[in-house]
Amino acid sequence: MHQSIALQLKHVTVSYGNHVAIKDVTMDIYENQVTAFIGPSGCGKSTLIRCFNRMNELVKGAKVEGEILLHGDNILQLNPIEVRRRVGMVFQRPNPFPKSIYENIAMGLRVNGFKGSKLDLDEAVRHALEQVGLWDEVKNRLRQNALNLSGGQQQRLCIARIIALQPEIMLMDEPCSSLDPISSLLIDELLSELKQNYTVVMITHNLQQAARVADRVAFICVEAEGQERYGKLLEYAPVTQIFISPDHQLTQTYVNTRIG
Amino acid sequence: MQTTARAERFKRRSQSVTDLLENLIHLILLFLASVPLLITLTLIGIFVYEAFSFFQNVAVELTPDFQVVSRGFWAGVVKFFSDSTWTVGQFEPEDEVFGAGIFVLLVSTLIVSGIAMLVAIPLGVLSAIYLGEYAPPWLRLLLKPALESISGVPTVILGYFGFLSITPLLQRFFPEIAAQSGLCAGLVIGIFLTPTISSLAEDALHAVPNELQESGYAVGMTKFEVVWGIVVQTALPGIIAAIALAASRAFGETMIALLAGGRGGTTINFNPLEANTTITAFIVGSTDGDLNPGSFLRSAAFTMGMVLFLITLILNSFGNWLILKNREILNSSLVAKVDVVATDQEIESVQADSPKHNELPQAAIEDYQFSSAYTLRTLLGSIFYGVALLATLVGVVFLGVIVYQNVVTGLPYLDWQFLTSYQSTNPDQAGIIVPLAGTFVITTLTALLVIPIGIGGAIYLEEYMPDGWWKRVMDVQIANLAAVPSIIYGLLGLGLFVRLQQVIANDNQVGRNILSAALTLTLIVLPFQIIATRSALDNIPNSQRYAAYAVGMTRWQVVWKVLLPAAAPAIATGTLLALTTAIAETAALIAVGAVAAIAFTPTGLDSQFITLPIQIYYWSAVGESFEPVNSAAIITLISILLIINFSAVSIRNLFRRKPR
Repeated sequence: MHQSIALQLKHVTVSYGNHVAIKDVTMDIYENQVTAFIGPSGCGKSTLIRCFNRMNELVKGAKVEGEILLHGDNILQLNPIEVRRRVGMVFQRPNPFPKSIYENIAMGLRVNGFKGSKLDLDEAVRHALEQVGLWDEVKNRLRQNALNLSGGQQQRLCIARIIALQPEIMLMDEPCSSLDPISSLLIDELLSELKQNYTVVMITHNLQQAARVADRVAFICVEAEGQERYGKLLEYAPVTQIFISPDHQLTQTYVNTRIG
Repeated sequence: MQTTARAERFKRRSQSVTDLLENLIHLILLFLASVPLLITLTLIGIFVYEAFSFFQNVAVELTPDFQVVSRGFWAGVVKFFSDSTWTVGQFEPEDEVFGAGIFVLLVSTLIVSGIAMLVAIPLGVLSAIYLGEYAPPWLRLLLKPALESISGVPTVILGYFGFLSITPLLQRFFPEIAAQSGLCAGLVIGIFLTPTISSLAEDALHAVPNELQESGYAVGMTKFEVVWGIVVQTALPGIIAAIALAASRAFGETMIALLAGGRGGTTINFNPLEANTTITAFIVGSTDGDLNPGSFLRSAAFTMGMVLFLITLILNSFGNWLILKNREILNSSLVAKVDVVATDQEIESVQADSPKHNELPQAAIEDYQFSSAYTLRTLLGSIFYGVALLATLVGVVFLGVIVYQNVVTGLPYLDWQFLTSYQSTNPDQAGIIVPLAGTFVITTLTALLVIPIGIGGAIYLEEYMPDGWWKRVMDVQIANLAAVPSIIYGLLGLGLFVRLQQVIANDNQVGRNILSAALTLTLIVLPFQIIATRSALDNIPNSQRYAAYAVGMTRWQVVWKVLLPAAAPAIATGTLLALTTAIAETAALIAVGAVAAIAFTPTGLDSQFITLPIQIYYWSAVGESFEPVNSAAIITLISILLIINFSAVSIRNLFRRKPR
């Protein structure tokens, strides 16, 4: 089956000042799949996916070389605000705005010039909450402060906030790392469903999670060159291949140690 | 045997002597720590006493044989709140036209502080946003100290500048404006308070977790939308607290209100283009009159001091409460609520239920339309950036103009002859040796008093006092003392130190001397000294204390041999900065009884006194011929303050680099 490409990376190198964080990544990320990035801490996974919505630019001295094409558009030439609307992001720790549940979703829509009436806005909020399975839990307290939700609910709210913007890609940086097992499971379920309509790129340290929800897995390793240490894309393949018969010994070791 | 011998070697001093010494020191420190409490109690005692006498005597009637008879306390209270004129000081209560309506002064005070806040809130909040969120580090390093030095300029200089330079500027827009007006005073006080709001608001902005900003960017907000929609809104309680604290200072500001706002008007007056007598201006102004014990004017001045004290107390308590509350809220929101840890059974049940997810409506909804208007939103952000930068520059430019103007007019006069000459009616021969000497002697005396009391008290509060509600009372109380307007300390100095000397000498003409001035300044500086010392001690890591106790030191030895040496640089910095407040103080010393002209440098504690800022105050009223001389005095005062500030900061930096 031919899969269309959502995001295309061509020789992407990211550096902060003189320090190269991740070097020469070339890969295609496919539409309506979950692509998982795995690899040791500090290998530059976060740095890389933060380039996909240009969040890395908020760090001083950050520089991206190469090309990143979002459905054919070079994102480095787009307006960063537009990129971030088209590529949503969910963070390690749930970070809802300290406002009402309703407002958390409506705010992103409003700043992006959502076209429609108040009723359309209500409908969009409802729809986003339904997509993450939060609607039934919160429909009677939409005006309450989002900080009163539990950690897992907060994280689903953060996903709903992104869904509402109908992004072309959703980035998730270890979305379950601060959640308890039940909440974590709920998010996994959610990811499996979301990929029917969305393209998801996630980072995870939990290999079971990668095996459960991902279609493709990218393994990033740390390469040392003299004093320099930088991240490198070692292997990128369908999930079964990475976990059962990876091309590289290093991938095998990483996967086996972590799972065993 | 051997261990006993080893132990013997250390028995140099008997246990009981050591204990006695420790207890003695404990007692001394306890006494020093209770000084602030004594000040508060004395303050309340004296003010309540005088206010009582005021209300007793304000409402009177004349008997047919022209005897003045009080109509009682409550009649006085009613009169105080119902009169529509204020002629206290001009007339006596028995006069037909006498009025004592608080609303006359209150309306003026509200107009001046209101204008001040209208200026200070936008300028302060915008510059906090600019400095905290936008400014590149090098520019922040330059602009922040420049902006904050405005709050270090003696207010007598700012008031004089307002009267001399801002009023003519305002005349272009409002030809009918008076030479001294509420508008002018409000504007200058507003700029004076900008850094107060700015630095407190910046702290509040800084406390907003970075993760929240990221979440804003992640849904496609521009920087402006993140800053305005998320950071500022989250920091709002902290910003409101900053505004409340600044408002309390606006109410208590005296010298600017007096010099730029003037005195005048005996009826309720809403016109900011005319002279507006604020509560503080009335208090300082009344010191021209008969403030001898028992006089009606004295009790009136103290009563207004009481009103001012209550207003500032309420605003400060509100501000401090809000800051604490906000810190709690932010702390609790940072830690995401932990879900109850699940049992295996629960996990299974969730897995079993999971099909229900599939029943959820999928993205059947049609695609949304966005009109993202990137150009417009980016433009809005740029406009905001420009406005915020301009707001930051207003204060800095204001300060620059003051310095420039005074240097241009004053520098030619600033020579050795000026520094070493006595007063003269001829500006070319006038000098500042007497006020310089006065400032030097009074500041030195203040330092000698405040350093032991402040450091001792801080040591007790920080190292000896057990935690508990009693300690919280002390904390709140010292924070309140630090925020009491200085004019109130001036009245307290008059009612306590001057009065005590009068009672002892049995002569109402004595007491307005150097000793009273230094004691009054001690009251003003003490809270700052205590706060600075406590924070210096608080910054020493606990491991140092444990290490000291572990080698067998007593509590006092830990303090004396370990903590004080480690905290010394920070304490020295704090002390010097606190003393600059004493050097710049004007209003309180006028109330205690500074003298306009003295021919001799101080000879003893009972000498009459004048200090540099008071000289500037008196010269500002003399007229145009003294303007250059006054500018020379202003440069001298600013230079002294700059040198002390610079030394204070240098001490801190010098010792910070050297790791111990």
